[in-house]
Amino acid sequence: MVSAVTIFFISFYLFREGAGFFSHPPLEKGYAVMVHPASSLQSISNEELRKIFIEKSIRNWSQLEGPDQPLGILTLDTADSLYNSKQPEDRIEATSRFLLSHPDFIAVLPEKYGDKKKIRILHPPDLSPADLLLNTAWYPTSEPAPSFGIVAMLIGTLQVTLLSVVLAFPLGTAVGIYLGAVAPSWILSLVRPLIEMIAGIPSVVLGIFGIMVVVPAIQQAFDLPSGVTSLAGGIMLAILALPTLILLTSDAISAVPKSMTLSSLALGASSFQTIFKVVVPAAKSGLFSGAILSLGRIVGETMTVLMVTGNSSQIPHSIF
Amino acid sequence: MKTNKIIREKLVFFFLKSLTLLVAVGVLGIVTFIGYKGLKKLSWEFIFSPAGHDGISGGILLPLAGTLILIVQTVIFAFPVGLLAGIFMNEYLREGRVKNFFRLMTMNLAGVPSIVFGLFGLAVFVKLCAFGPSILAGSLTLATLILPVLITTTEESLRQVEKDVRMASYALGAGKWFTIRKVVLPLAFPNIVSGIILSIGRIAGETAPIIFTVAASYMVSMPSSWYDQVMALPFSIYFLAVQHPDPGASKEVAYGCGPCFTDHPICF
Repeated sequence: MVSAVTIFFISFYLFREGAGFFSHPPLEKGYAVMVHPASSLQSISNEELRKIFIEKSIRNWSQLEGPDQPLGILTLDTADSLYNSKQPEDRIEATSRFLLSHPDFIAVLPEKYGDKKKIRILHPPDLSPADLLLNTAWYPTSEPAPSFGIVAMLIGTLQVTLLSVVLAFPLGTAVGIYLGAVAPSWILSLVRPLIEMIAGIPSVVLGIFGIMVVVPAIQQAFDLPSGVTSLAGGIMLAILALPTLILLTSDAISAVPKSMTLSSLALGASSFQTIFKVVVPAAKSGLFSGAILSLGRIVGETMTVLMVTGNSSQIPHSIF
Repeated sequence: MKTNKIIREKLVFFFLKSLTLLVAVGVLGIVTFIGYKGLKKLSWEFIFSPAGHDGISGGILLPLAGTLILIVQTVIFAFPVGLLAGIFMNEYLREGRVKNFFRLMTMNLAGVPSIVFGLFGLAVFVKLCAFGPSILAGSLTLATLILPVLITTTEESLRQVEKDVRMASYALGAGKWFTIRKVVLPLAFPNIVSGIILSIGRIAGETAPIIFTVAASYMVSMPSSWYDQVMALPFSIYFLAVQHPDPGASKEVAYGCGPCFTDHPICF
């Protein structure tokens, strides 16, 4: 009952915070775009804002469907010389005066410094899901127009997950089957505690191990300038998921009732046939849920992959 | 024909055996590497001297203390809730849709990645409740993290107490709550305690939930109130590792050893 409440709370708050993302324009709260009232600019989009203020690739009014005139920009940091007093009325006055005398300027200032009667105030449109999901530029802290495209991160997650699944699942299932069905008990008593021990290592420690061992190894083996790659991330995540997968698989396999194994052997099947044709299919649901749990762990793991892949938001071209 | 099959089967088994050997050797290698590199730096003064941390020198007293404080605080928050929830689920609920629903919710909570818990902690405890980044916020977040584990362990261990014992207690005239308190709980206690130990291991090791809610990269002195930020071991490991490779080794030990010690009681 407590957990139901907790889950409810968690989802509720996360969605609330997340939804807040979509009801704001991409400017800081309380800011707006201001131009001269006779300017040709009727509306402005997030894309244009970013290009003007951050990339500085739009530098001429002609790029905004206006006359061929260089574009001037004004933000709060550069407006110090403009604002001599702290009184809001003076600042409003100063803003309007500046914009009226400089028709080629675009300003992003707190909205309260703008006088709607004297200058034109524009608001860029609110952020939409398309901005989040389809945009590739991730600059969440840039001023004045941050950009929130998470495509790079989605692709990166996908790539690392895929890599670690390819590395870990076959190996993990094979070892799990061996430990669950074939291994004699002395091997089991040796190997199982070892695997349980690694399952308990916190992800940061594995991240350190990755930084100190895996990254330089990749660097040397493939002759790269730096070993911080998504291959390293895939390997580390595979190491992370492997123990869980092995333990769950071997549990699922040993949970198959002995009567099945015995009857199969009694009917003349070899142990190989018994294992692969009787036991494994019988344990299918357990194997499946084990696979899903490990996959969940792989996808959700933060620290290990953070330390080893460098956390840069670019779309990866290859696993290096 | 038959020999072919036999050869093929033997090959497959050999292959599986060698794969397992590979994995076992790899695991051993990782554990020894972490232990060796870490043990080199472990010394009495390392553990007990506080920062002096210009990032690199000095000891780990502060992070160690911080983690201990977080552990204690988290268990204080999570244990009563988890225990009561487990008791409620096992003793007072009948099998049916409601119980299955709660069980599903608990499993769900258990599977949430830790960084989502960190975000939740940030949104609710740090911002909404306005605790700010503090021990209070951090331990509440970690408490939510281990709650499902505690609930499941409590429920399991209560379930393992045989019905006969309860029936005998009722037959002697005891009430339900009295039975739970004096008969069932003491019997189930060892298992519940091992569940707590498991969660302590998890608390000690989690970085993501505490990044936003508690962890400081450098603190001068011990925390003095519930609202202070704290240095925590996992976060310090992360911070130093990203910043400078060598001290990473020095932290590893407190790490490699921690979970290993938590695993041992379970292994044996």
